[in-house]
Amino acid sequence: MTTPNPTNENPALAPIVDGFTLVPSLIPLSYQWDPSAIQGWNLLRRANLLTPMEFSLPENEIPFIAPYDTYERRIDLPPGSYLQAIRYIELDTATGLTEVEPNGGQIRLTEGCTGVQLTSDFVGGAAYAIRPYSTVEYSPGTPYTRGRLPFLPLSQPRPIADPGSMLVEIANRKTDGTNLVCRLILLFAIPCIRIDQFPQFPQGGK
Amino acid sequence: MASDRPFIYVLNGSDLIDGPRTNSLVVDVDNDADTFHLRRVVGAGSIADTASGARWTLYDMDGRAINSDLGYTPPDFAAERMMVPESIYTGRDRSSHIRSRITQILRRNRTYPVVGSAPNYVSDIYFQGVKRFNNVPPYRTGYEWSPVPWDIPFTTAMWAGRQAPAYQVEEPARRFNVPVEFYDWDFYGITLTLQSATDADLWIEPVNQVKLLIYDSDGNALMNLPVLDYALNMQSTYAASIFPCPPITYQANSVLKFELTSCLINTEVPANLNITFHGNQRVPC
Repeated sequence: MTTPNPTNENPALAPIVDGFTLVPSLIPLSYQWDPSAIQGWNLLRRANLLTPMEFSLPENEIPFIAPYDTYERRIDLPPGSYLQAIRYIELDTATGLTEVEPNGGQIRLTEGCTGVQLTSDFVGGAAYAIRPYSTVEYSPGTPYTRGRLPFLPLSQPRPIADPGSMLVEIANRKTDGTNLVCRLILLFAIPCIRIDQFPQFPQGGK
Repeated sequence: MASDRPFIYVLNGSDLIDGPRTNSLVVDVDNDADTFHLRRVVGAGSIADTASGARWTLYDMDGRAINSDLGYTPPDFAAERMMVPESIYTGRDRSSHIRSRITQILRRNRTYPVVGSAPNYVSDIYFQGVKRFNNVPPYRTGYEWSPVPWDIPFTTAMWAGRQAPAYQVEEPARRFNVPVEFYDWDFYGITLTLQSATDADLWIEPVNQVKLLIYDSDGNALMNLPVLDYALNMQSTYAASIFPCPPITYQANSVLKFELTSCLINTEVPANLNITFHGNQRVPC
């Protein structure tokens, strides 16, 4: 028995087609960022020796960044990882549940191996935000602008070399002197060996 | 040579219990295919209590968390996720499962305005991807052909999700067939429109109102449980939904078999559902 497949190609080598690549609102707009980035992602999407990993910073234990303070964190990753997409969101100070205009945070990412920054200086968080800002933007049942990606992909995945670390800095630059409640979400692809690829060891015994 | 079959694994949350607890949610990967390649996750917000700060974590087949720090805060929580790279779960030789964890449960539902009735739960997480069959050649049409657009429309009267008058017992799914005539047919996508009693004469996009379970021309189900409209409808304004992807071929003179489950409430019936199955015929040339 065969499984019908019209592509007549080896699917392991064929580009991925799905709702993200075929979304009708994107196809006519091939000059725009999102469809171009999705095409650039294609090879990474099919990389079966990499696995997705996303970091959400600051951690849950750090509910806010105090006025004029800077949060710093070193992320440890396996060498050979790739940073592929970013999203920044700011939340209301009172509950931490409602997304607000992202105008208080400044971000700087530095690759640990070379010390090279991803940007020449601190960048406003709004540069990595997805509009419109809404608590229900992507939840089914409430409309959003169809075809918007939930993350901002980089133009090229950024390789992370040995020793596999990245320094993340988020500065509170709110002019009203209030706490900054935010999340910076970094999407990586990290190398992995799946459990079915481990060598089979002989059973123990005499 | 390998062959891919589009597939959606459904985590049905309707039997969960609402409240603050840490739930490990597991969907077993079928052992018919060699691997399952997960490319899209949507619907976590229909189970998680986002207003209470629920958190959600997804694990890969080896038990590694894909999100750090138990997911992140609600605004992005219910997001439709594009898995980059695709996450691979093994099937045939070493069956695995798709595991996730939610800290606060609140099932989305549609309530009947009838005392003593039970609601229709529309609380599912969908894991969309492909089943990969190694060493299975893809189907080839036995003649030279050109693609010609050929859509197959289907219209039916709909029913309430639970049985009148008490609306406590679920109405079972109903099975339909539409013929695939003349030539082989490539199935590219689905659009759904609904005309319900509350929408007067309008045909609008159903959201959380209808579930479909679709079979291929060999009779293999393309999802393990029925899937809600918004996750399948290619004209959906709610999600980047296209199914099946990659497209699949129905052989000439086969049938497109599917099951409909209603999530409509009593005030929405009578209602009519229109489904258009979009595709191309492989016309000899």
